[in-house]
Amino acid sequence: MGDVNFSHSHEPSNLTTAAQSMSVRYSSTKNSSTEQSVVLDIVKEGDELKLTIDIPNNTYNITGSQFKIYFDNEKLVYLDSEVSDSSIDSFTTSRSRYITIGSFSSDNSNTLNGGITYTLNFNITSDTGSTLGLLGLKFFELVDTDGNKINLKIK
Amino acid sequence: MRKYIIIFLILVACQPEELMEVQPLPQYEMIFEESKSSVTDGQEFSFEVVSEEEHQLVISKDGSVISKESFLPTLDINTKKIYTKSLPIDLLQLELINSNGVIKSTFIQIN
Repeated sequence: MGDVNFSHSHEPSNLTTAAQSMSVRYSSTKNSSTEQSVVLDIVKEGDELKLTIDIPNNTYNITGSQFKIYFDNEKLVYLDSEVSDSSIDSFTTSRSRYITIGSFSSDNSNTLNGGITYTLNFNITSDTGSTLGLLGLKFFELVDTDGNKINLKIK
Repeated sequence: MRKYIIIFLILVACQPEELMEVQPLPQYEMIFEESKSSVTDGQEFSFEVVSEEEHQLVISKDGSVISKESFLPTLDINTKKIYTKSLPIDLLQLELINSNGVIKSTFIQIN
């Protein structure tokens, strides 16, 4: 629930109007030939934990992105999200154990070639000492204007 | 004479025992010394660090990062916890990284 389905004709029922009108033309998979990668960072600042996902400048013509981040809801409370580029439609859906965040261009008029950074902020509710594993990026998907999946690594 | 011997033995037997206090050695789960470990939520693990620069613990699967923690270590043995509720139940790679790259690596089975 709450995920953007980039690869099937089924339209999710719980997304925004813009998301529902997104055309579905995604089919094949394209492997990236460069060493470029998406950068995941998790930083503790006081009693907050900040997760950032940075898609750098690229030439992949990405028009759809989706990241599913699980969090330990016994130790973290989700606060809010930030997206660095407002020229492309973006979405965030919050569930009890995970957040889905991403962007899409329903008419291919915008791409993520200029790069984009997604930020999720959490409050640490108990003294954990360590933070390793409190957040986990379990799923992500990137697609380009031709419907190809872009297989970038997360670094 | 026999009476004195019995009294002597009773006195000796009533002396308080000298207990030697043995300090228990700290037990460390040196995770990078194993090629694979099974971990549970909140489990502590330890590793040795030889510089005080920023390090990262990185959990990944098939070369893609799932979770990480950046920290400033203390010299010698550091102990951290790993939380597993947000991680996939799978065999994952755990790496210790500093500015020179990966310095220690192992596999962890999330249960």
